[in-house]
Amino acid sequence: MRQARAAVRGITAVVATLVLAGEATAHAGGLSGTFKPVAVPSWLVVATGGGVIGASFLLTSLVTDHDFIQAVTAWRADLPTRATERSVAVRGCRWLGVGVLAAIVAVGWIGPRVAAANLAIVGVWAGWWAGYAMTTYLVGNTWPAVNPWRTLAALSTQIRGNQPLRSYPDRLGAWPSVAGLIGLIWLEVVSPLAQQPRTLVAVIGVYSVVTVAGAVVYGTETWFGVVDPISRVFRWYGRVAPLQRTSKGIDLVFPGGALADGRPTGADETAFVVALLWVTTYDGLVATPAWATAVRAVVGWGLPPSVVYLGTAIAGFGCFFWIYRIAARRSRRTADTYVTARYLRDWFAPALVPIAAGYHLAHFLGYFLSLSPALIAVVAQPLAPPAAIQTLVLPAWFGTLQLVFVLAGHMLAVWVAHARSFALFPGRLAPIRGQYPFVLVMVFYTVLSMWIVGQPYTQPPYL
Amino acid sequence: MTEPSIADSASAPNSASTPATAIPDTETPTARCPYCSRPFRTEQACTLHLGDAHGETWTDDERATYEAAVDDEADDLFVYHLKVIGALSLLYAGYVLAYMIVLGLQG
Repeated sequence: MRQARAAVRGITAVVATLVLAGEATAHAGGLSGTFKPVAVPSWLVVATGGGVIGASFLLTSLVTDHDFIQAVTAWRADLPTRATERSVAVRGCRWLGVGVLAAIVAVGWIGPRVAAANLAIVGVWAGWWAGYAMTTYLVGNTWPAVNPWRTLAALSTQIRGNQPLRSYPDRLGAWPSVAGLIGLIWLEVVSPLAQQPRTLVAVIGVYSVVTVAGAVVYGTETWFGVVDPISRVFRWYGRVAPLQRTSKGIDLVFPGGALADGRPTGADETAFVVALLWVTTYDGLVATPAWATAVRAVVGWGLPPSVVYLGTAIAGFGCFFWIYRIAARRSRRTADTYVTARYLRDWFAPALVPIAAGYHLAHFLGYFLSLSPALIAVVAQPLAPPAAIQTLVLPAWFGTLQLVFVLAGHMLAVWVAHARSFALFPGRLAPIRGQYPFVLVMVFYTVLSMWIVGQPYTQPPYL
Repeated sequence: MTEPSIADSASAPNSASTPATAIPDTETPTARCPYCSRPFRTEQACTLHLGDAHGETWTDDERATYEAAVDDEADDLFVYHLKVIGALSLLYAGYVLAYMIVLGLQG
């Protein structure tokens, strides 16, 4: 998986420099027929990304009408769907999900050993984690309908009745899902999940047992609503999407509109959003040269590599959370308010979700498109795929598109923070001032992620 | 996280729409919303909050004060937006210059 991303990252770096140089070179191109593209130093590309976020905050600060902001974020249109159509579609999706899971496990175990020719590897990474995950924030969250583990757990409740065996301890809240998300990404980085089909199947097996058992013990709604990290990721991504499931049917909203309302629930939910942002960053960070140097140095002191990887995954999350908490405390001062820093921290957390979605799109759209012929080939002939698996070569301008996705995610985040700030603080100046620290944090995230995207791919050491 | 303050949000009657607030020991809030008892550091913030949150139930007096406060804030906001335009221009000019210098040095 990372090799493909490395290629994409290489293209990104080149194209980024070319396009960001576009302003100056366009003149040269117009005057004379020949010009040599010049490389913009990476620090300037990165600084430009930060500047774009700063500028988009300054531009949104010109929009100060409470009613207008409210009207944009609360705008929704009912999509005419019939209840019978929905229930048939949901039932179909459920069994489709279970069928796909069964096929992936079976083919992963008995199918070809070559990663790129195995349905399990291509299906999970290109099909599900890249392609399907994109639909959750670009279209709508369909995971509760297709989630095969939910269907399997529901089967057992049909046999046994709906009563959970134990009640879930409330004090744990969403913390198990925070740990689960960081744990899953650590596992993805340190183990050959994208190279060895059987390892992947084993991990899916363990996840299935834990998930179905958990859902039976604590109840399906509690498990998938509170504990399961994957359901929570898709639920958050789904709130970015234009289609929102409501009790009556399906509503069409502006992207991010569903993030602008809703009260904060607590530190655990905020921690999960920050973890979502961090794991996306971590996945890219481990493939940078600076990371390789640092890990070699630390392992040289005698620490086992997997501990170093786990330690940094946790420490990085702590660092992100700490920075975000400082921003919340500062916001209390800049907005000149009595609202507690904790409340502010939880209140502004949903604004971080579009950033994670933007990175995901930037990282995985190219990956998905380049592997889509392979996906079609292994789906068509899972047990005897063609000897030469084809992949698409993406055009050079695709790298620009990736930077645009990163920036678009941040701009949506700036807008969501703006809308949430206006919903919380009175007047028009206090809501703008209250956003300062959060915008600084977003500029920091942009700079960090654009730096990562621009780094040459380096194989993470000791894996 | 240390908050040198007394949390009083739990006592708020309708905490569904009122954010959790805390007032530092050394301070007494300048104003409190008569409807949801949310504390504010300035009288103006409280007045503006009345218009934003309790526009349906307020009295005529409150409405008049609100409109005056909105006018006051509009003047500040105008100055603020001038600064925003200034900052945008500076940012743009800074980046154009940076690109010109960097590309000029290379070309």
